[in-house]
Amino acid sequence: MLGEFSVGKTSLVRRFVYERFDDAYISTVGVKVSRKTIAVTRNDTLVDLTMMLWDLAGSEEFDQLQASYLRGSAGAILVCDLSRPETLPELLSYVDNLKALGLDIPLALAANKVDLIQDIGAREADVAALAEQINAAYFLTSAKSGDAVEYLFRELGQALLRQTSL
Amino acid sequence: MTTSNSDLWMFNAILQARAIGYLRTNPDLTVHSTGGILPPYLGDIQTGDSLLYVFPELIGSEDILNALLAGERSRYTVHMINREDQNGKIGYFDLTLVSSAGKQAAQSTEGQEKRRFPLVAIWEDITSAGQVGQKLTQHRNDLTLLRNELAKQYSLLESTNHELRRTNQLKSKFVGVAAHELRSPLTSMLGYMELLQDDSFGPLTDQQQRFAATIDHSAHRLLSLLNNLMDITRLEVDNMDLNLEPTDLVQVIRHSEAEIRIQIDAKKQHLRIETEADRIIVLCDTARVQQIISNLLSNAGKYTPEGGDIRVTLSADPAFGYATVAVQDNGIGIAPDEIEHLFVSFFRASNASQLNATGAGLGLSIAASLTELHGGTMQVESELGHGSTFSFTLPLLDVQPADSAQALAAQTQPANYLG
Repeated sequence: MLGEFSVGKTSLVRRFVYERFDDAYISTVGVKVSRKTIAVTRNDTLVDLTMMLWDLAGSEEFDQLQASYLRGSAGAILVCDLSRPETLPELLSYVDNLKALGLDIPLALAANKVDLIQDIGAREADVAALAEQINAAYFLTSAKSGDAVEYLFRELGQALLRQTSL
Repeated sequence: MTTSNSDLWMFNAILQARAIGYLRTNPDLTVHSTGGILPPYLGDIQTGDSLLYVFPELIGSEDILNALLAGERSRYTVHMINREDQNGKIGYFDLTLVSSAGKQAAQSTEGQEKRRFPLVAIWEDITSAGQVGQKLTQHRNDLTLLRNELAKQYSLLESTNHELRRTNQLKSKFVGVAAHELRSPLTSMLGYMELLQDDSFGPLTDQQQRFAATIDHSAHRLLSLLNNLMDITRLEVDNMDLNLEPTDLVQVIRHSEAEIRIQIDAKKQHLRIETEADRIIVLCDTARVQQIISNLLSNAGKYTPEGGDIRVTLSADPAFGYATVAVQDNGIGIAPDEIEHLFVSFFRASNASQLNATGAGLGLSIAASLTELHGGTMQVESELGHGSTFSFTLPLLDVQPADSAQALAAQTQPANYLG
């Protein structure tokens, strides 16, 4: 899970793994790992895929730490906050970090907090453009309502299966 | 080396005191045994569990684990692991893996398959430190969010402010043009009214004279209002030019006093002028400074009851390079919460109508703006029901000291000054 602080990375994981949501913003510090097993299709058969989700602090202090964890990642979910448009272009720096580490892994873009936005039109266009630029599927998610959260993780899971021979 | 009961007791005491726990793995990285403190957020660790199952934070660090198992690396630490227990309570711990290979690894001979040595995983609960770190991060992030939000709001305000300034300039331009267009026919009307009053077209009856005087008075009020409107718009759009020249402030005061004398006498007020020098030379636009003083004197007269006192004081401070004019009255004064609005165009104090005083609320605004245009400042002190003092400063050029007591505390009479 990559993105600026307070975009909702922890909330997305919590919604996906525990089906819970807490309105209060609690900054994540340190290394936080969650796991969830989902059933996905491969060659028309259902297989169990256990996803280990690294929720990394969206803070400059953890850049070095992030680098060490990025090396071991199989895929990444890039998260921005639709109510803070400036968090969208910031995602490019995370993509650059992945490239710098020589990682060519599946990406998914979560444009989060869609529940806070009245008119999504123009902002979705920006999200779509950036998603196309980094070759990622994008989802307008809400950790609060749960909108598109399951799709987000499942899409990444399917992409992981397509990319690897798991 | 043997371990005594005393050593064991001490070892356990350290584990308890530092909230440390440990597990020993088999060479295949399954749990062999555990000991020490097991915090709730680590759940239940069973013999035979995979180390990567117990500590998924190690997934992705397989190369390091292999090096530890082979004894090629002695230890590896993951700092500040963040775990949430079943009740949602967050705990933090440091995890250190230690290879048990010791010197045995070095004894492996080339060509032989590498041995795999058990590992010891040691965790130390640092929840207290983690919570402090979390709070610091939280505050920093909250502050950053707040700062960003403030920056957004500031930008929005700037944009709105810019639009308001533009609209205000359009308004000022319109008012300026309208005032100018209204003044032209008014000037013509005043000219013909003067001719009528001078009997240039034959004598007027007493009643006609009274009506003509009323028309003339009202037209002059209208002209004064239009002039003020033109001035205020010029000042607002920075379109006021000053004709600066050395000017004797004492003389300007005398001219202003003469202008206001009829108003002062009509209310039987006492006007006193005090100057500490015979001549106080300032660099100013004479007509505009006279306008400032006239506005202040006119206000003092309007808001001071019949028989009240008005005092004008001139002083000069060569050391600081400015002259000060103060107009003091013992009139109705101004409420403290209204003082800050006094120099805003069209503002009139809530008690302004007490003495049937008329006005558009432009005089003080113009006076303050003209003062600032000269590089001076205007100040006001007032006490409701006890009077006000308006003072302003101008750049000083020269002072000719008073050589006698005549300059001080002279009760003014129009004839004395004008004669």
